[in-house]
Amino acid sequence: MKFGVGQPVPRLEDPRLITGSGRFTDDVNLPDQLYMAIARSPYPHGSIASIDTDAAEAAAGVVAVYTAADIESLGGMPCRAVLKDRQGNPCFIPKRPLLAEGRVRFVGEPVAAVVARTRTEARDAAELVLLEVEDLPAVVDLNAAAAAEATVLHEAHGSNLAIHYENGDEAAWEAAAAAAAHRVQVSLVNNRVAPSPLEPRAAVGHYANGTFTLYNPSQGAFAQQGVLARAIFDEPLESIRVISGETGGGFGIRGEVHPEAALTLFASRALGAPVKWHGDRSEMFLSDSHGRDNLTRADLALDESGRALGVRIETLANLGAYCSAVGPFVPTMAGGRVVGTVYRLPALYHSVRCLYTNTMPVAAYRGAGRPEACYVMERLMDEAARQLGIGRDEIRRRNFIPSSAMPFVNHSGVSISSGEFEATMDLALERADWAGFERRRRRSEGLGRLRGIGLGYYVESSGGGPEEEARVRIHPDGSAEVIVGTYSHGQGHETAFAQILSDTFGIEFDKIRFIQGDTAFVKFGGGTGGSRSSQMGGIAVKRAGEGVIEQGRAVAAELLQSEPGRVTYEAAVYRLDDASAQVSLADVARAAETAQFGGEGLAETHRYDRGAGTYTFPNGAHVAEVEIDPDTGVLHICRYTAVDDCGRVINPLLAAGQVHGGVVQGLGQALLENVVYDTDGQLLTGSFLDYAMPFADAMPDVDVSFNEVLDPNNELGVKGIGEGGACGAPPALVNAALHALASRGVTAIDMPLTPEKLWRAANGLSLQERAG
Amino acid sequence: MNGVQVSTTVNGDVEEFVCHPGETLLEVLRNRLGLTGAKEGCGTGDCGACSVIVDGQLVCSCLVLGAEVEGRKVATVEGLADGNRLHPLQDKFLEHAALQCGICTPGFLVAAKALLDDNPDPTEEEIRYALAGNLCRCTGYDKIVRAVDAAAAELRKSSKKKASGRKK
Amino acid sequence: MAAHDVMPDIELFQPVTVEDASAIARRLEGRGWVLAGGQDTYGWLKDRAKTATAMIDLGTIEALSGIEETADGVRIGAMTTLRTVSRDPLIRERYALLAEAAGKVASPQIRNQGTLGGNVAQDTRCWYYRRGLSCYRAGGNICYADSPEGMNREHAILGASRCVAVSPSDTGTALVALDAVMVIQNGGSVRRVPAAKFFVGPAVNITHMTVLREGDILTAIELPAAWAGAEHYFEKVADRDVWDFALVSIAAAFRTSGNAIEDARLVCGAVSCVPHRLNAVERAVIGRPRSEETAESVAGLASQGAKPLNFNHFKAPLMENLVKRALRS
Repeated sequence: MKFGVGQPVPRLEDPRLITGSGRFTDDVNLPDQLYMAIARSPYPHGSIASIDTDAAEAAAGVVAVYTAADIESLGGMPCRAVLKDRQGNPCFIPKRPLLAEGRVRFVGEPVAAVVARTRTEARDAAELVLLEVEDLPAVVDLNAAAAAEATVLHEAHGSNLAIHYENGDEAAWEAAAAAAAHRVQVSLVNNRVAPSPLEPRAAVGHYANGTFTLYNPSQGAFAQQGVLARAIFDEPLESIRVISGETGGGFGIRGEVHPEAALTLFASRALGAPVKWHGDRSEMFLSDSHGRDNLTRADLALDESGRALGVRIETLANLGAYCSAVGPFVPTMAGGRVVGTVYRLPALYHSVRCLYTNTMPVAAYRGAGRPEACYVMERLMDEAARQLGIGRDEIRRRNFIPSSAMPFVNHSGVSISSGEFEATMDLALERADWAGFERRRRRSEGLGRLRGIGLGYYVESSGGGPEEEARVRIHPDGSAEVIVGTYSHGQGHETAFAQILSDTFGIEFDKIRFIQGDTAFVKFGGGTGGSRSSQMGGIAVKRAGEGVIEQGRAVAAELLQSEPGRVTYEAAVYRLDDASAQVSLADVARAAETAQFGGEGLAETHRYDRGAGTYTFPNGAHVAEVEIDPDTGVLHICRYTAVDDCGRVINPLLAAGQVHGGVVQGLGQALLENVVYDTDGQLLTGSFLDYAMPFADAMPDVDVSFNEVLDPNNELGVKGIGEGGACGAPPALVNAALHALASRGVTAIDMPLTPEKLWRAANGLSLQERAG
Repeated sequence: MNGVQVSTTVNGDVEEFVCHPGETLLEVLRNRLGLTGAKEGCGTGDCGACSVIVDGQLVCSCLVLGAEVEGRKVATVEGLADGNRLHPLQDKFLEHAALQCGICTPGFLVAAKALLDDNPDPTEEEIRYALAGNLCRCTGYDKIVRAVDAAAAELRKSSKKKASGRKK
Repeated sequence: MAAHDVMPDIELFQPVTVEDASAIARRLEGRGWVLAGGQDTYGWLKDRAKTATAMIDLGTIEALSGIEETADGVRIGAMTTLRTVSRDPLIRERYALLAEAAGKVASPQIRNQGTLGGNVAQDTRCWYYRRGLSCYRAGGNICYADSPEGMNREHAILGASRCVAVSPSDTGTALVALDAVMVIQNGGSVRRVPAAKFFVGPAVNITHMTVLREGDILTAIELPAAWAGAEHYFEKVADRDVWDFALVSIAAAFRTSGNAIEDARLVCGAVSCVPHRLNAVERAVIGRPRSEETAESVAGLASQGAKPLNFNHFKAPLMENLVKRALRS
């Protein structure tokens, strides 16, 4: 079937987006709307002495100014991470208010909401809100936050430690380490990044006739509805409708409700008019959740032949000033599920201290914990190969979990269901011409350049929440409508799910209508994140479709005056098994809407439950080849090869797009991106100039291919493809750069690898240069 | 506040509007003329999502005042297609799935149009540099570059056809 | 720096003559802001980091755009776009250095709307200053960048005086290397200032980066014939090859006779508050060939007198490397 699963079908959603008629939240304007702006804390840490709103209230066009005292009826932003330490103590999760209460804890924390007739008036009046604080020392550095004498952000708790998460067996590690022939240690920075969807966050809130309606970008409207209703407004679910039109990127951080969205609803109810807020890019840097930000020390014990005996991984993870919706879950359990990644490790000890600092909260960002886990293992493997004098491919070969050992239960008790790690790596090495590298290196050397090649193997545990729902209806004209709880914000579900339905029903692609992102229709759903949509939504869609066919079979049997067991279905036609009579899917759907058949029509809702604690395991091998100019430190990516095992590929075009995007975000983190707070807690990277993301000129052609090892636990055999690139690219790139710099005696370097940093490394200068 | 009276041409149509002196062309297009194809990604010229063509030159409409387009010709993504017939760039963006979330796409299409108007046969490197004023966070640029390359080939083919048609 | 997006309530003047523009600027005193493309200006105004109550747009003065050959070289109208400068056949043929520098500014969009005059008159990118902090340059009495905790990777290693901000202009280095002359009109009077004197350091004036004062309109830049068709070299090292400002850049011009350098100009950008001319290197290369040997023997002179801050020590040897590359090719 031309448009079915496995075909590179162009996307259904694209026509509106390429003509400029896509409707993003900032394109929504309601009659008589007012505009909101947020006054934010310029101080990283302080007790609030006063918030003077007089001047703002008196400013031209201002309708209202709200501070924490005005919104006492609203709850805070919830964190849904549930975790305990080994002693059974729960993670300390402080209230995160919509507007600062008592203290401000990071630069950019919302302090007051100003509503005015125009955006300029609101914005200029917000500047007039006067916040006075008694300064408290800012805690910015992770090591400083962990120190006993550190200023405590949340006084009642007594320290900045939210939780000390542990996993594995420390005694077993000690024994393995004692018996080891080799010990390899690395100290790593996983730099803080700004996920930066290109669409700045926006919200239009409208309260009318007892119902709140919120237009805002999200990764799933249903989840937003739940948080707003239960945690923030304490109102029934059905009193809040959330509509996400087009969403301009998410990458994890659009999965949570942000305070501004709730505030537009609050203000709309108070003022009797729709209220619109549109953040600017600086506000996004200050108030969109950040990602990563770990300091890790890891220690690998190996035997004489380079086989791993055990590993110890100790991490300090930055939560920011409060917990985001998933906060401490990311560096602990999310990454911890694949701790040790694709390697057999007889002993493992994993320790994560989650700490509060005076910075923007950190949340899930593409990969959420897994890129960090992979970076640790891939750096250890390369360092072990270097110290033991073994090939970097060979040391991995010696330590991979073999496919014969699948399913393989790792130290987190997670069962890795499938994967051919060695074969996937070999494919990548072949496509990257790993063997021919030396020839290319010599050529670069002749031009005065340092060339290196590096490998990054990743595994993910994906799927997110174990339940997902889809509703499929066949209309009397034979067209299909599908409502899903996942939410495409660039992934192309409209196309992929239509492909699945097209396969299931044998109907044409353009007869399938797709509905998502509006809680008036979507009654359940976990949204999109954690590479879960095709494996969760896809299966829910497929099964709902199959349910509809079965329903239709019963109706058809009656129409054909026969038994369901004698009715076959193919390509939108029900036939008797002797082909003596037939009835079309459309006719069956029409009949099903009549009173004779109950009048409910041909529709099925299916809630798919994958089973708690089970995941899929996308994995892959990425190879980067780079050239560094030692005169200037400028790095050029000569070649990039990705071989991914995402299970069955539903649409190669879309899957390759996910790889490209993930890789470039990973390369961005590895090469350029870094959120910088100065020692006083001021954010220095508040624009796309200071926070450098890659442009087209410096990004490589990415050679994408797949080693499809079907997931044994779902009928589509899919695993997920959203996050692998962001996991594989950083280690591949850093390992390549270190390989290039090896001749200069460089054995460690921290991301991002800016020209200045590479240049220092290539020229034997300290990476933390301080003159004099 | 005194307004500025502006008369300009947008996608071939004469438009007259009164705007504030500090109002950007982006705001004028979106709020006064209802053309929401150009998007705001930053407001500072860093991202290119608001790209439009003014008198044949690609600019960030967030860094041009509405008042500055008096008497000039503005082209936006809305004017790219010829009625229902998509521009070859749009066709190729579709065919190659050169977009994901779509927020940056209008800016890339307009930037690519400006490139191909100026250089019908660009190398890959020239394409990448010509698009280097536009940020995309989803696609990794790969498919965008392919799509622009394919559209350039398509446009060359059809202009050759036109040229040989004239000879007859 | 910040990235805010709403312009303030502001007036706009669109004069059609330089005299009018100058008169309006003088009348407004400090409240007027001269627009020469606006690609830097609008950021300042949107951020509210600087206040102006009116903008004076030079875009409506036709006489300020265009490139023409003169008796002694080439004259470029100050409102000529960077794109035009980078692509103009005359400039590319005779002053390739300037064409390359102009082509390295920011992005295609910025070069299409930004002008040569705007590029040389833009303010510094020091992120403390741009945030609107009350530093020396903003009239205060502290430099945040030059403090024990200062983040000063981008800042000056030469010629600092209280303020350590650097000149961000890519074309400025090229213009100094080409001995360009800046034509400035104020009311009815015109003065011509050598590019090297157009840019001023903090020891001379800590709140202005150029000699432009109220009522001054930079109308043209003249490139003397003396450097036309000389051997040129331009390179800019930055975090990204597009959009970013230089960490260090070099603009060099050589006149050679036979194998020997007769005269040379080497100017580094982003190392000082002004385009930094490497006088010692220029003197040392006279009479020598452009070669590896020359490069090695003179490069050490490039960073003489450098006083690095906490995080920008790398700029001194990077300058030397760029000098070597300029001398090699």
